[in-house]
Amino acid sequence: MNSPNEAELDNLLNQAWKNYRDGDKAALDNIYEILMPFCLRVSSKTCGRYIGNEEEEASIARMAVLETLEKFNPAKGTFLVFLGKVIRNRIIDYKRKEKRKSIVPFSFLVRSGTILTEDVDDSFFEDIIDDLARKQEIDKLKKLLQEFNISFEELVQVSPRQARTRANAQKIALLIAENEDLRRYLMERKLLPMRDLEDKWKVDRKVADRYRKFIITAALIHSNEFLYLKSYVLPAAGGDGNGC
Amino acid sequence: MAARKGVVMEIGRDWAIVLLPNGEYKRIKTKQFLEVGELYQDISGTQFRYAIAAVFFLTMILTTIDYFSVQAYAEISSLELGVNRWGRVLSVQSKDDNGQRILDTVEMKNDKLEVAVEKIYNKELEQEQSRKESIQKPDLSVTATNKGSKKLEQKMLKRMDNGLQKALDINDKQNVKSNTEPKPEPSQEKDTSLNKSGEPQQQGNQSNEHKIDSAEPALKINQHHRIPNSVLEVEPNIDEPQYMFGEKRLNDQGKHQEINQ
Repeated sequence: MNSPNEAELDNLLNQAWKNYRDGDKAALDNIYEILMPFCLRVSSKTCGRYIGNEEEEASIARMAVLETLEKFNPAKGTFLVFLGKVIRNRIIDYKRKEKRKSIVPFSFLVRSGTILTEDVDDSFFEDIIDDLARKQEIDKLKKLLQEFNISFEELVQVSPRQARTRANAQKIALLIAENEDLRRYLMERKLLPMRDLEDKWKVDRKVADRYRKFIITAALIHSNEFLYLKSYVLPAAGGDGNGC
Repeated sequence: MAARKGVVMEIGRDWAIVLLPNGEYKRIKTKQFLEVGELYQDISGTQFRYAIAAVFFLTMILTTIDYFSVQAYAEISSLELGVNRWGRVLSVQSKDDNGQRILDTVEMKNDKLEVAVEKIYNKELEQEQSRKESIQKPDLSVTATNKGSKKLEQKMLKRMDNGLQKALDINDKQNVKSNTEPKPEPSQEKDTSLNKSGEPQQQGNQSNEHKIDSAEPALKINQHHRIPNSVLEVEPNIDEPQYMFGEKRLNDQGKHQEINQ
């Protein structure tokens, strides 16, 4: 998946690497915030469990960043994929050493055994980059939803079960996102523009009212251009009219 | 819809909220290590659940069919009980009147074999005591429908024996109770019946017929007349009760009223 953000990110990282190579050690500070989530995610994926910032694996990842900055060659691929490989290898090395040194709980061997010995290709790291981009969108959406007093937990409860109803609700959301007035009303009042929807757009009040939170979320995803999430809230074929 | 990939929106200890490709938000339980933003493949989706449900129902149906299939016939005196593999009585057939009488009074469908045997034997004891006869231990035998399964036969026989033993135990206790009360006759009577031991069964039948006679005379008459009714329409005067019956049939409205008056 190639998003414009990704190319931008690549450029930024390449630039920082060049600066670092030319002797500007402060360049690392600029990209540190960007790199760290990726480092932790690769570590977590490699270990098969959540890795926090303070853990041993995280510091191994930080060392790997330095190593990558030294060894990186732009002709051989993207910076992040290379960094991911280095982190993964260093963590596997560390685990092997640990295994030799001490008794490892059996459960740990079972769980990590499959993950560690599994050979991965570049897509493993590209997927992680995509995951992180998605996570950014989700985090933003979550913040936005807090203004509307909506949580994902609630969305599970109120999301329409029937495919047809869902399609209708998604159509209403798209309608709101594409209409300037309706969108402004939503953002300012934090409410659905019920009267307008009903009078001007002949929207079924029952659907709009019942699935209010679901519709607001979808409208926010559309209007904020969340690229990854957008495809998930597009109305599927099968609904009728304007959600009547 | 083989590959359903959703986005993980929120994670907890053993659950995750996933936004499915169809736009539905779903909370799933999973031990899998997931992180926000990750794609989630719903393997344990509907198909898997349907498979489990199908297997469950299939087992239910097969078990039900199996339950209602007779695996062996157990014989106790003059009754033949069809039992399934778990020793539950499915069908009862009698070979003679004596068996039929027990059948009419004792309900043993779906009972465990030992319970059924106990009931039957208790009834027999009751009848035999009322007839003041000696108590015989009935013959037990089991024939499996599948000839190879001697194991089943033995198992069932053992269960029947258990039931019989139980009935005997209860009976003994009752006898002990009744013996404590002054009752000198039974021993003598036992002796007399032992003297005639050549044909105790026959005597039993006779006495039983008498019993029915005295207890339910109406039934007796009915049995007599049910068949000749059609004949009666042509020729009503054969004998006294039949004539009355025939009259009733011919102009039942008027006669009924007369009787009522």
